Amino acid sequence: MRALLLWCCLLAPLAHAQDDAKNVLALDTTWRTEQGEPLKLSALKGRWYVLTFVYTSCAGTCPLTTRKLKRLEQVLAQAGKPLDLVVVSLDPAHDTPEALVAYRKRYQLEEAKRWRVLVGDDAQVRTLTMLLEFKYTKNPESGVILHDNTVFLVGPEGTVKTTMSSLDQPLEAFVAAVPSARK
Amino acid sequence: MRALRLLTLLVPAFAFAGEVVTLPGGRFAPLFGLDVGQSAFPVGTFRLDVRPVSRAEFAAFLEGNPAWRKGKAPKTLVDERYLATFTPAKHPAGPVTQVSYFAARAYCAAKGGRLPSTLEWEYAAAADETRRDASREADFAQRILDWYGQPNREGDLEQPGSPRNVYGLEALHGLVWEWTDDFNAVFVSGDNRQDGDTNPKFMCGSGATGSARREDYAAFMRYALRSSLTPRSTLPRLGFRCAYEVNP
Repeated sequence: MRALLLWCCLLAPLAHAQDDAKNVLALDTTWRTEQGEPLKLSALKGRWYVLTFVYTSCAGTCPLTTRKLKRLEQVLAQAGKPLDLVVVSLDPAHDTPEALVAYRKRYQLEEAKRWRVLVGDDAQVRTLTMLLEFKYTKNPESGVILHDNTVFLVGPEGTVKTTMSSLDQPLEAFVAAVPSARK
Repeated sequence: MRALRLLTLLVPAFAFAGEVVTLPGGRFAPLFGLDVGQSAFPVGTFRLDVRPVSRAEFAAFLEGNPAWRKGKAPKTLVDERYLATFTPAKHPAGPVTQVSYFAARAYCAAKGGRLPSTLEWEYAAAADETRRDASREADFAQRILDWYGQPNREGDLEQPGSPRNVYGLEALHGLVWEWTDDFNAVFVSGDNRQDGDTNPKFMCGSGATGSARREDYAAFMRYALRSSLTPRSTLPRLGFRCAYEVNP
């Protein structure tokens, strides 16, 4: 219990700082895009982008996360720092191509060219979320997924530059961490 | 590394194969995770290594997967203590420790398996020699707590094996802590005066008394240990065993 409290009270806040240990390029796995095309995160090497996790049937915090990402996209564009947004599905079994189309329609994202929704398999999702220390657990009966609400800013070398909560943190610090002159 | 290669030649082939048992499915109430109105989760039938992965078995894995050797594994996937005192030739049958989550997963994948989920591990570890779920039995809980209460002793890891539980599994308690596939996936809050959350369920003692099995303090300690880890962590008393699908 002492270790738990130590983690919760002392160590967890450090996760907001730049964390070079979390490098998504350490994982050479292939994801599936909404169009069914293969995509490796290494394809995004050299670019800054926003990364987070949702699932399309989520009725809890995912709608808030998606709306926050839309707002973030607007603010970044207004600041002259437009970025791609990568959303990874936490529920590959149910996030079918049809479900992803419905998700875009629900949030008026049909024309959002900078958004990529990626689907993998359960093991892939677990590995990437572990690397980023993004927690989630699925209730095996109800199918409801409890999950963190962290949004990651990934730098050109694949490391996490900063994070924010999609629920209760303002955008300013996150936007400020994006350099103006970049690829 | 020469010693490691020599050991690999000396260790019989079956050492890497390991002994596996099939656990029948059932229902189990883990310490955390149940929603209001839920009394247990279903657990499907699965297969599990009888004992933790040994040093000899891991040495054989390193021989075929040099990218996971000490000094070669990516720093994103292991911490600086990874395999720091790995001496397979000294106690080859003892459990391998100081292995990160990612390395443990890679080992299991190479064997055609995976790490057990926390639910599966707790389901298996709730059994004693005669009962499938002895987790609420005072005598069983006390045996586990007696081990947790003892300081680490040099030499413990030389003596693998313990009485087999009702499934035929050894040493789920009393030897090393073990990785699970979703070890960090429990939403246990700290003292929520720091968390800015007013849910009384997580306030001080409610964190324990609000669990499904508050008398199972040993399980509470395991969840606490897991919550303190990162996937890069390595500990001198942290090992793993692999699970397998029944019909892969």
